[in-house]
Amino acid sequence: MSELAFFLGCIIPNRMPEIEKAARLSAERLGITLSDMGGASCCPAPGVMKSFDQTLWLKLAARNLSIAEAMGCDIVTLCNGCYGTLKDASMELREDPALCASVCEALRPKGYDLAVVPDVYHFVEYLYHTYGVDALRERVTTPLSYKVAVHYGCHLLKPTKYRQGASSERPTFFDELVEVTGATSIPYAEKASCCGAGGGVRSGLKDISLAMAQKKVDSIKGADCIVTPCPFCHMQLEQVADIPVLHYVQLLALSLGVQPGEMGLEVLP
Amino acid sequence: MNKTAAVIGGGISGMQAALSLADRGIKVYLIERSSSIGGIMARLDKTMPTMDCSICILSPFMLAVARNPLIEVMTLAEVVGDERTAGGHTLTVRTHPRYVDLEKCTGCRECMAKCPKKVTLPYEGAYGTQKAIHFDFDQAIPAAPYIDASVCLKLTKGICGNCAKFCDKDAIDFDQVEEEATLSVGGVVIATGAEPYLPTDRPEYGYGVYKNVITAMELERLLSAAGPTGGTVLRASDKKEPKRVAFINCVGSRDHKTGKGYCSKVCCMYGIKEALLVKDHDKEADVTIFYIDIRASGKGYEEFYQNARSSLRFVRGRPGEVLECDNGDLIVRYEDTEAQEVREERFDLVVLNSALVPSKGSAELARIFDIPINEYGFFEADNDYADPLSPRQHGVYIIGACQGPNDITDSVSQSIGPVAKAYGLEGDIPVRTARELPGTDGGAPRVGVFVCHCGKNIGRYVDVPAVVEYARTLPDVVYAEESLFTCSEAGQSSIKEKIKELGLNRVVVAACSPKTHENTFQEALVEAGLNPYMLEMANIRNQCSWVHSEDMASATQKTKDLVRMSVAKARLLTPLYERQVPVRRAAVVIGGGVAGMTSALELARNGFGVTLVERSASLGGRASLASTIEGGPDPRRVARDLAKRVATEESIDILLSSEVTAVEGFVGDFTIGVTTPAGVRDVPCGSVIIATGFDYADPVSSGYRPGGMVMTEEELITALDEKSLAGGAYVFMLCMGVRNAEHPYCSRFCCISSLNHVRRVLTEVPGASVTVLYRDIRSYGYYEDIYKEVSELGARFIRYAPEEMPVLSDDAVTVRDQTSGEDILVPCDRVVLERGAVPPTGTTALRQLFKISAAPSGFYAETHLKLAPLDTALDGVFIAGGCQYPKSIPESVSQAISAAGRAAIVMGSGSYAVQPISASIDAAKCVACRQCEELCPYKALQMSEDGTHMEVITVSCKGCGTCAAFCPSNAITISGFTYNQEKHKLKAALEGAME
Repeated sequence: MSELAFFLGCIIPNRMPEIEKAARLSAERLGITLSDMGGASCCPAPGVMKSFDQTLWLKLAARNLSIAEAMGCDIVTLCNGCYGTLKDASMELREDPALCASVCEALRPKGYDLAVVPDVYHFVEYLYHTYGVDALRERVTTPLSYKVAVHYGCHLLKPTKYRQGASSERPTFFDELVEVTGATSIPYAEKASCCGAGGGVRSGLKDISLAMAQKKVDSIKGADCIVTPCPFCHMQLEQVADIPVLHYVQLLALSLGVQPGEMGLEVLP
Repeated sequence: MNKTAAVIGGGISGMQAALSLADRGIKVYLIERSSSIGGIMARLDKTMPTMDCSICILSPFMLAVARNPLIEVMTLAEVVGDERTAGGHTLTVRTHPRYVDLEKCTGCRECMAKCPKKVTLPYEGAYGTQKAIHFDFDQAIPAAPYIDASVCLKLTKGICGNCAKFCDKDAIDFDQVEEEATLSVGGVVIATGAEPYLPTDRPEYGYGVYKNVITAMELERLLSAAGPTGGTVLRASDKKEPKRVAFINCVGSRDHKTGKGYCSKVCCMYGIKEALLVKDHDKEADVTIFYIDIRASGKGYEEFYQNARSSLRFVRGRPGEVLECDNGDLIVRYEDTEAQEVREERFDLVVLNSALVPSKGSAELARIFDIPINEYGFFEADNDYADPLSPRQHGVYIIGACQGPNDITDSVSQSIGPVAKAYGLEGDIPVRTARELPGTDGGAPRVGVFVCHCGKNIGRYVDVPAVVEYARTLPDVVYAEESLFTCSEAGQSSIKEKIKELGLNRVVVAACSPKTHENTFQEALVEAGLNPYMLEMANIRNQCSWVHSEDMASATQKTKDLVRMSVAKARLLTPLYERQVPVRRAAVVIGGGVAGMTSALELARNGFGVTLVERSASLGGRASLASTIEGGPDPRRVARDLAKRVATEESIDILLSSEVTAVEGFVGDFTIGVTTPAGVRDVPCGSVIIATGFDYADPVSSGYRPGGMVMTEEELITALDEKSLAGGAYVFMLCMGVRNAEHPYCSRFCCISSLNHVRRVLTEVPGASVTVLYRDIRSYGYYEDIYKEVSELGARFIRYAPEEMPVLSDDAVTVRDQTSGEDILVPCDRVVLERGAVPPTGTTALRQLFKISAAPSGFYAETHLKLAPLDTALDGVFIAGGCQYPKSIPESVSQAISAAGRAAIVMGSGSYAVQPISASIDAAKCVACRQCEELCPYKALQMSEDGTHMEVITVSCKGCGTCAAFCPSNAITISGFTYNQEKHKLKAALEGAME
């Protein structure tokens, strides 16, 4: 099917290679080609870098975008943070041609350019809006029976002006994708709450950060696992949860018939 | 012009417009989409700040509309086409079938009892169901039910038909079909109002997901005695009475995310009203209101808000999320910005104070009439300074909430305008003929007693059947009955039928207050051929069920007492007759500002002579000093243009540097003494409009004095115009001289003009920065856009509390910031004091000349804040603009046009009907002590020419009875309240005490 530039970010290749593996195996079964982006750097992080130096943030993001452009591909990522940066940067560059020109001017001496800004997708978004829920359902070979507490994370939904879908409150698209695997998405009180990690809180105010995660996890009743679209939320929730935390691609891979051992899931408690 | 008009929309605005047009002899088609006139107001429980029962003050209007021979009410009807013609418009009106024949139906409700199919009414959600054949509300007019074709078994499946089977009058007609008719009219008034927003695109509050999250309109129905729960607030999940209730403001307004950036203007106040009512229903209830700014910017609103603070909890913060607990309780997550804390709190019920949005079909109507709509979907006037009622189409007028969220007062203030605008000089002005009131007393008393349940308002607290039984035992009572709503059309039909059938010649209605309903029942008597003054009312609702709601036995006993007293008086009633007095076709307008000039021009255009009296040496008033609001015209130019038009208008006589110093006479025949530079001039006239505007408040009452770096907003505007301001740090201080102990009200326009001044400084003065010190930013309605704009221009806003007023030093202001709790030192080069408004000097003197009263704020008091905002206690004298209450220029212009309309109604008929209850003096008994003259609040008593006794000026007399009560020689009698009548009434009361 289609070829996408696969932006890995930092956490997945460094700490959670099992997610990358699950993504590659899933993509293969879905007929999606994930091509590596040679020379890709840090996205850079939307909460931290953007807060300190917006111009530098934009330039680095544009550099990553230009790598995809050179490949002739749109970008897909597995991380809400990477998605936040690349998506927002792509939109800001498109909306402001003068800004885009000045960024390109800075990039050109280094051998990068951005004549066309590529589309940026979160893998979850790509599956829902482009690949299609029905097409996905047809590929499911091993329907699952888990009760899942779904966590969306922030950058997947906000800022709403740069996101597909009408509202960031009470969204359902990710739940639908989870349920395509045969799993059931269960309601819980703190579903819309932050995991507590983002915006530098995890680094700067660890106690508060963990208390937020704890509060969220405590409100989950009767779930077999938590499913997130983001490795950063994932890491955070794992700190406090007493049930497994899965990235969506891991859940998806299971439903597509991938064995846990093939993607390193057996090491999880 | 064709002397007919179409009014589209049968809410309070449309009804008011229809009535005033009919008062000038214009035939009106009142076209209403739903099954009944009444609009939103008919569904409200109470109106604020007066806390009147909404339907009780509205239903006399509805009945007046239904009775008016010049008004044709068309319900279930909508305009689908408009063709402009030389004489006006040809409208295509589509009428949907009611399936009930209005001629035959008596409103008995038997069909409803037998209908098996249930439906849910809007705003009554989980609480109440109605039948497929139903009334939208009990007092609906026309007083016939209609069939909801989408659920009726007969109409959907061809089965049932119970309603037709059980209707004695054969009034059900399933063969009715949709019909289209064309109407040829001279003018079109659009009064389609607004509707409450259903907050489904604010999903974080869980409306439609959580059972116990409801909208304010739904709560209004629960609070109403005529609502689905009979006036008990129950939450949907478990039908329990909530003890902890949260109100969330600004749901669907001040919200750019959902495309509703405007402030919805009415929600702060209806929220406080409903919160107080919840408290009133259950004293133990804890009620919290979450708000951003409390926008209490209307007459009496700030005082209402401040009073409410003692019983309600106000939290400044817009909640981020509502979560549901297993038992249906709700967790509200919010930041208390005054305490700087993020909190979670559990409530039993969450009420969303949702915005008003354009009525469904507005866009279509705009297309049909080719009138502009604004970015929020409301109709837009072409120039709201010069003519706030007109979109660009000639002969089409827009009034009320279809222009944007409006409260009842503002809607009514606009609604009389079309009568002044639309018909001007054209056509004849009808001479009102003296109404032939039916005559004789019909011999020996035959009394009928009609006892009202008022839904559950009375019925729940008083044993009505026992009262009826008792009434039958009273002397001369030949008939007694009870009804659910005696004021409904069905209730009145019954009165009329029984008068004719049994030959009743006196009627006692035991129901509510004669203040609101006497006229309604009098008309019923007239229609049945009785003199209207053969009616006596017993106010058993206010005086029995309301005040003795805890004790049914006593309430019932007192009801019997009141009924016995009323019957005793009714037996002695005699017919009374109206009198007609001629009216002069000339008016005096006091005040030469925008409001006064507008009124003068409108009256001139309607063919009346006008004398315009202005105290200063030139016309223009406050607008001469005002500043242009972004996007609007220059008010100074508006004032100049008006002055030019007034000066060239032949029928307007301008008296500058002049003051009114004497007032003689009465409606239709006033003589106004004006002291001019050339001496005193007596100006005869039929009507008076007072438009004396306002003065600026003295900021010293807030603790600040202009001088040095401190300037007033007036000085700022002058300096801006002269371009003499240098850059630097500007600090604006809002609410100067108002919202304090001396002037406890909000003067409404100053937040908006202040924001405009800030905008000018930021855009016109290079190198200027601005800090605004405020309490609440009350940029109501579309003015919210200016607030947003000014914020985006970089103005910094700091909220201060009145307990901790900012402290000025030589080069800085220190302010305790309420959102951080910290003292902030703001270095500054200029401080601008934005002053509020006070009644202008001379208000008290002018009030005393006219003997009209003042509101607590000192501004002129109107007859009724909601429904008669332009009328005063003195017939023929009207108020408009800032002297009624501080307001914006477009609002002043609206009122001025409407006041001209009111005056034109009084003068246009050529004569004026004087109500017959008045004092009369027995010259033989009068000793000419003149004490009554001093006591009379209406200047209705004068010495006879020979100086031997006092005389009553009947036209001025209101029949208040003050003189009669005082007269030491018992020389004064009030018709309808004679000594003998009252003596027997009292005797009847004492008889009860002795039993």
